[in-house]
Amino acid sequence: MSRNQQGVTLFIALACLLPVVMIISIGVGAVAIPASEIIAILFDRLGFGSGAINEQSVLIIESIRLPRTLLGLIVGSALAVAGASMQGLFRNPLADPSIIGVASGSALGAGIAIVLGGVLFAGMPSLLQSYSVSILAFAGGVITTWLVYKMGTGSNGTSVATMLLAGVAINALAGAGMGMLNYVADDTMLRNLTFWQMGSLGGATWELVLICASLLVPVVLFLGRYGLVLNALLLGESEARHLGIDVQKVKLQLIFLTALAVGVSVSVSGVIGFVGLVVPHLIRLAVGPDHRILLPASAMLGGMLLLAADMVSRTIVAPAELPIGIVTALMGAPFFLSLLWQQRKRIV
Amino acid sequence: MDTASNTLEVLEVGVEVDGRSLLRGINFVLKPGEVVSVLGPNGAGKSTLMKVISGERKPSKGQVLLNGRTDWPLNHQALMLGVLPQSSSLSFPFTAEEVVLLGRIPCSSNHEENRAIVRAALEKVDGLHLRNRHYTTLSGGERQRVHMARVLAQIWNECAHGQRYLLLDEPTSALDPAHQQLTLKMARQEADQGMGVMVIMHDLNLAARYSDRIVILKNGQMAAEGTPHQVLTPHIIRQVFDIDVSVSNHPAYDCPLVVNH
Repeated sequence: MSRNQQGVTLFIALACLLPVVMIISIGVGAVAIPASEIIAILFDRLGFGSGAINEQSVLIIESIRLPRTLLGLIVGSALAVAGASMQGLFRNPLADPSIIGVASGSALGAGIAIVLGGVLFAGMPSLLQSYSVSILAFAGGVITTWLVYKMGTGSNGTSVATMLLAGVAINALAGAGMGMLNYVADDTMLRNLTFWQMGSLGGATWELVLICASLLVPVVLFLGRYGLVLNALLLGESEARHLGIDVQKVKLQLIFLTALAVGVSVSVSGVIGFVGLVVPHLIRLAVGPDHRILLPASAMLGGMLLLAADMVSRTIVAPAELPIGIVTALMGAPFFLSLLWQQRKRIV
Repeated sequence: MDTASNTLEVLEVGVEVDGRSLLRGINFVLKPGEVVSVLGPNGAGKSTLMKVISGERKPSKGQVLLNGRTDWPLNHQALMLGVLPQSSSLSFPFTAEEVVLLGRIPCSSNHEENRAIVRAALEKVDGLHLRNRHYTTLSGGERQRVHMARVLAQIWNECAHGQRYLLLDEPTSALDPAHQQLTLKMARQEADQGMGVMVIMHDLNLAARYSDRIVILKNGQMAAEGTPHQVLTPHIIRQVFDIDVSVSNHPAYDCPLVVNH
C-alpha cells in the first residue's frame, strides 16, 4: 500500500472514530447517559424532534458535557497541530511547543493573575477581571515566544539551536517565577495555581468554547496550509530557501501561529503536556512524515486523545476529578519513553 | 532575452565578517554549457562563495547576476538554480522517492509528471533501487546521491525565466570511485545539454578530467583561473596547496594528470 493510500485510509478511520469518541465523552460521567439518548437529544436540538426526551439529560448535555467535549476537541487539535508544526520547524521529531517556552510562559501569566490579580485588576471592569487569568496566560505565552525568538535571532537569521537553548533558559525562569508565586499565595490561590499547572477542562462554558473556537479553529486551519513548506524545512533552512521558500518569513508566521495556539489553549485549560508530542509521533509511525497528511491527521487524533484523557480524568477518582495534565503525562510519558527506546536502536 | 545576460556572473564579490575578509575581489562567469570547478585548500572560501552565489548570504561588496538580475523572486530563482549542499541533516523517515519529490516543490507540474521526473532523476544517479528505502537508513553516499537526484528534479524542466545552473558543493565527498565518476559524468552531460555547472571539489584529477575551466581560491582570493592545462601546473599547485606534484598528460584524455610526489 503506498503512503498516499495509507493516508486516505487513516483519514477515513479517524473520521469514523471521531463521532464515536465524542458520543462516549458526552455519555461518560457522574450520570451516565446512553448513546441512543444522546443521539436523540442532539437530533432534537437540530430540529428533527422525536418528542420523548429526558429534560435532566438535556440539561447535563447542554450545560456541562457538550461544551466540555467541544473544548477538549478544540484544545487537543490545537496542541497536536502546534506540536507537529514545531517539530517540523525545529527539524526534530522530539520537539514540543513547551520547549520554546510558550506553555510555561502562559502558565506564569495565569499564575500572576491568580495570585496578584486582585491587586493588578482592582478597579477594572468586572468582565476584564473574570478573564484576567486567560488574558495574562495568553500574554505570557506571546511575550515568552517573542523573547525566545529575539534571543535566537542573529544577523544571519534564526539559529534553531540558540532558540532551543533560550527556550530552556526561559522555561527555567518561568519555573522560578511560578515557585515564587507559590510562596506568596494563600491556600485557595495555591489550589487554583496547582490546578492551572496540571490542566483541566472543568471550566468549560459555552462562552469559553466560543472564544476558544473563534481563535483556535482559524489558527489550526492556517497551520494546515504549511504542509509543503514544513516538508521543505525538514531538509534544512538553506535547502528550503533553495526550493524557493522565504524561510525567514514562514518561520515568523509559524512561531506566531504556534504561540497563539498554545497560549490560547493554556489560557482555557491550563498546561496539558505530551499531546503535542505524542500525537504527531503516532501519525508519523502510521503514514510517514509528510506534513500535508500529518497536520490534519494530528488535529483529528489530538482532539480525540484529549477527550479520552478527559474521560479518564473525570471517572478514575469520581466523584472527584484528576487534573487532565496528570492523565496525559501518565499516558504520554511512558509511551514517549518507549518510542525513544525504539528509536535509539534505529537511529544510531 | 539578450545572450549577454544569459550567464551566472560573479562581479567583484567580497565578504567580510567582523572586519575579517572571507572573500575578496572574486570575478568569474559561468556560462550555460560549461563545467567550472572551484578548487582550493580548506578554509579558502569555497563554501562561502557558494553561499553568496546561491543567494543564501549577501556579499559585503560586489554582486552576483543570475541571468542578468540580482533580484529574482525566490520561487523563480528556484527554477533556475539548483544547489546541492555539502551535507544535509534530514532526520525524518521520508522514503528516498519522497525526498526527491521535495525537489519538485517550486515546480508547477502535476503529480504524474512529478513522479516520472523523480524516477528519471533517481535513475540518473543510479538510485532507482533506493526509491522505497527510508532516507534515515541510507548510507552517506546513498544519501548524497538521493539529494543529487532531488536537485536535478528541481531544475529538470527548461525555465521560461532563463538558463539553468547547477551548483554542487563537494558532490563526490562521500562516494565510492565508481559513483564519483558517475556523478561527474552526469554533471558533464547536464552541461552538454545546456546547463551551467559549478562544482566545488578536492580531487585535482577529477577536476582536470571533467571541467572546462578551473577557478582556484586561496585565502579568499582567486589564485588562478583558466583551463585545466593552464591552471594545474606544478608551480600553481605548490603555491596553493603546498604539495609537490608532477603533471603529465592523461594517457587517454586531453587533460592534465597530477601525480603526488
